[in-house]
Amino acid sequence: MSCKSSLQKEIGDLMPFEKAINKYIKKYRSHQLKLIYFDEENKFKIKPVKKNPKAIREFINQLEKKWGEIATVLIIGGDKVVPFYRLPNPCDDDDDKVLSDNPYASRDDDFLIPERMCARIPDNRRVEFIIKQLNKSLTKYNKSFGMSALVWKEASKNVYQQLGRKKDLKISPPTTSANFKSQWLKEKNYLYFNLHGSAVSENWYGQEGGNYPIALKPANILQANGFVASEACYGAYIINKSEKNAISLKFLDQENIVGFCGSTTIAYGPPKPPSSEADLLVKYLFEYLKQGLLMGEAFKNAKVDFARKKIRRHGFLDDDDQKTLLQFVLYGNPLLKFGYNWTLSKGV
Amino acid sequence: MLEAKILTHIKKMISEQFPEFKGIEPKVVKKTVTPQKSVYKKLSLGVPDKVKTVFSLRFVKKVKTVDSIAMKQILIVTTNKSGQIIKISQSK
Repeated sequence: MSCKSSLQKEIGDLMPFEKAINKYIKKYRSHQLKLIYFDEENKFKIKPVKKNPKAIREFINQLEKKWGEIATVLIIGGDKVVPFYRLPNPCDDDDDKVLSDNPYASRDDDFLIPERMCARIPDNRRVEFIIKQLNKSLTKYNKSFGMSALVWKEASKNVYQQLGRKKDLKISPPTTSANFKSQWLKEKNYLYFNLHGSAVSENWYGQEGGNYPIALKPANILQANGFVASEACYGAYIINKSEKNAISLKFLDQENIVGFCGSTTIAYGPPKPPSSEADLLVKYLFEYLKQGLLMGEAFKNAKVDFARKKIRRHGFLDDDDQKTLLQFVLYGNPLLKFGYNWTLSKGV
Repeated sequence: MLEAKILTHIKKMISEQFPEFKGIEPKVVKKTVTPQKSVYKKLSLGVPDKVKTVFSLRFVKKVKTVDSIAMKQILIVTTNKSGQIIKISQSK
């Protein structure tokens, strides 16, 4: 799903994109995909809508009424093409609104729990960038990589232990961007980061007491493989950014990075186990990816399980639980998976 | 509101376990949590009829990274009415 006029403004001629998306639709034919521009006449005779999140969401719901249940929504383009929803921030912090794709995944007005698989392929103002994401395929390796701020070492080990040996988790400090070896990211299945982030910085940071060294910067990413999950504040914030100043886009610009999950705003997590907030969501996501679910399905299921767990543990979803559910987004092809089986479903 | 002695106890615990927040006065907010019916329904869970009261203690500190990026570090302690800590979370 995209906005034709806005996508054209961002990437120019749409022919190469449409050729690539048609190839993608054929490749995943069992999912019965269709390319829908919400600002253009369509065969379902649904009135085109303007680039307004509420109108776009209503368009999807109308489409579902005419076409049948939609299992997958793949958004093509960044915020200038298909805007993120701006939802009220449940937490008392500096974020005015929470940027979210959850409403596009929800059939009703409760946006916390997604019902559809939903992912986004940002345009990064280059058609080649979009085509690259559509054409990516998975190569499986036996290893993973993880990196944590020192202050969250124990909490991070609790997440990372399902991916690799706890002792292999890189800790910042002492690990920093200055001694980071780019080959650590090569030939891996899963890349896990529990670091600090900022909306105005291109870097992610470690922490030891009051010391916040640069743990990772875009230049450290040269040859990465696999699926990335980051808990950093603003780890998935891409508005007015490119691969030069957003680690998320730098990762996605790699030939062999298949997906990126991160937060659009200030994220939260526990200082120590048990896992909660971002740690718990990412933990569930990795579990489902390891089971071989589609990336989009793993992401959706992780949110559902997160909500169940938090309600069972505390009896309710508190402010930061709600924010966690809304702020985490998935970038990349939601139909890729680390397993082998096909499913039958519909998608736009 | 939270009893003063409970608040003092939590502040002492935070300054011991999180020295970077030592001396920071938390913002204390009482919250009444009503069951989120639509969420329970979507998750196929039975809706409890209980209303819960919790307290959120929010410690905020301004910090700077090594490359001079200003960030606010937030530490949130959630307790029940008797001051028992339900959870602690930190901004990333």
